[in-house]
Amino acid sequence: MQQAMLGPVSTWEDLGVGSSGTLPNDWYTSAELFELERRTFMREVWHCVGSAHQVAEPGMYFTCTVANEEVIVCRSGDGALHALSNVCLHRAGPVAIGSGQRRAFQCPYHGWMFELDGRLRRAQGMETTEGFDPTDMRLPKFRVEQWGPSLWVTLEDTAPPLSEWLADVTPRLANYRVDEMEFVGGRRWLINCNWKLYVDNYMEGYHIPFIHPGLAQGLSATVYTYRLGTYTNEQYGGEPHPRGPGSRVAGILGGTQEFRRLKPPIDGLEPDEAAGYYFHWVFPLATINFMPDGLLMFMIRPVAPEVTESNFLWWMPRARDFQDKLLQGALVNFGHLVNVEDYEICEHAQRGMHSSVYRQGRYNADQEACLHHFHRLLHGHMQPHLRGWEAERRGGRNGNGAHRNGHESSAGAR
Amino acid sequence: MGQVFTTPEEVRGVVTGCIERFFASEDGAAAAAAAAGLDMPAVVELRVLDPDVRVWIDVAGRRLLERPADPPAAEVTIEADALHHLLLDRLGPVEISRLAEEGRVHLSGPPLVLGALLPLTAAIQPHYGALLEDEGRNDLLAVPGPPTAEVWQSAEPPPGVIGVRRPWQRPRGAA
Repeated sequence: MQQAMLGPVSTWEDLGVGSSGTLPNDWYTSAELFELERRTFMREVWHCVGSAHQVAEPGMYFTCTVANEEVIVCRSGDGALHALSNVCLHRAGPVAIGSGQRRAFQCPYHGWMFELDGRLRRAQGMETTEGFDPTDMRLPKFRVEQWGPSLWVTLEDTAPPLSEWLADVTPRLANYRVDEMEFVGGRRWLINCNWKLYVDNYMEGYHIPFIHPGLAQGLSATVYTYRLGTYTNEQYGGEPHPRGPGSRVAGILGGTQEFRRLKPPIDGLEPDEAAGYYFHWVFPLATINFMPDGLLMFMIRPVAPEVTESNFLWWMPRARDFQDKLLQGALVNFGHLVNVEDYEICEHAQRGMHSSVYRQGRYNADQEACLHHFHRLLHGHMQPHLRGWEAERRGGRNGNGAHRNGHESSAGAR
Repeated sequence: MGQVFTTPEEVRGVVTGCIERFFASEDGAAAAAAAAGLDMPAVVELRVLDPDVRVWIDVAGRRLLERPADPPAAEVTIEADALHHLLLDRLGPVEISRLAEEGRVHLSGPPLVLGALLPLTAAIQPHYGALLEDEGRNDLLAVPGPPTAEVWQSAEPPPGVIGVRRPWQRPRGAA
């Protein structure tokens, strides 16, 4: 039977978590959809791009890619935070490479120099070019904001303020004393799956007993709650009660109970915060995970239709002593094992999405409400762009100029 | 060969010196009492790699052994450079995890004994730097530690773990 199509992919109908099918498989494999996502809705959302410590002092900068746009995040001499286009105004060379601390940026291609706020300082050898006035030239700017210890960028003016985007998550910052934590590093993996499949995996705990036997011992099988927000959702998993599910094995292993005896939760947490994990997903590509011992954020970057970069960044309170440091290391290692398990199943499932006999699945109505929430938000944001794609095709054009040129569509670039 | 030590004898000298210094301290007495409470032979085999050295530590007896007759209660395998920087507290939580992720440190033994290694390592740690300072080993102290607080990417893909039974899982078919 022929599938109904909208744009380059099959239609998805939202009938609620109890009645809908999951996203059709071509949403995970279509190269055309991937390009459409990058040049449309990905520009209109907030992306976590790094840690504030990377630009703690004037002159500090780092480069990143946001929805296929090359960006520099930097702090100018007056202390202001900037997100600038990392594309030289001359011949599109890189204005900055990697990260570091500088007084100005200089494109390595032809030596054009830019101030840290994006103004063109000097374009050597351009004196005889007619009508060339460097004084009114500057690198396009994008919106950048700091939230807690992290930095976020959006490419368009259409996104609401970051404070609104993260309104449901912000209250936790104070309880966990995030401002007293320090960045302790992180890990980057390239995973062979579509970004949505990787996000899907985060959206439910249904798979935990099967994919994460270690985590299954560390979390209660009975304490799982969720809450759906405007741009975020929240899942909560409790650590096992001393007499509850999972506690016996965990106790024998020197697991959760023993770990908590040696490493008490951060002071001042509410009882639920001290006894479990709050997993916040931020539409579409970030997660903020509050643990009794620290903060873990996932920064996800779509690289290709079936390649996703996953960065996980840790912030922790300063270790009380060497033993506390070793326990923090054990915690990071535990997180690493859980992530590795996720990567592997995501790559298996990505291969499954190419099956000729699989089209879509069904949601577990009790445990996959957050997954449905993600699909609903994504579908809502993509609908106008999918229709636009169809209209372009009907009009005999392969995309309009505004969409094909990131700068022209960049209404937010100022 | 690692970057810190040049010979196995050099490694053996600082490792055994540090442990003997620990045994002679109040921390050593406390650790011995704790090890005795485990109700099992509390000998730990420390295998240092690159340069390679093996040391048997009788925590309860507060002594180092020649090759023991009975198998050790636990084995700790660690690269010499990693041990050096770990005991000088130059690694952050992510770097400590990375040692395990990359197989540069490996622990084996009953969970109870492995759990006891954590406070034991913490108790030994201050004695290492103090020993190097007292012995004037500024050459070793001057070797810089690895960068910390970085986001790092391994060249290798993640290891396959699905279907691999964990140590606490019962073998298939077992009652």
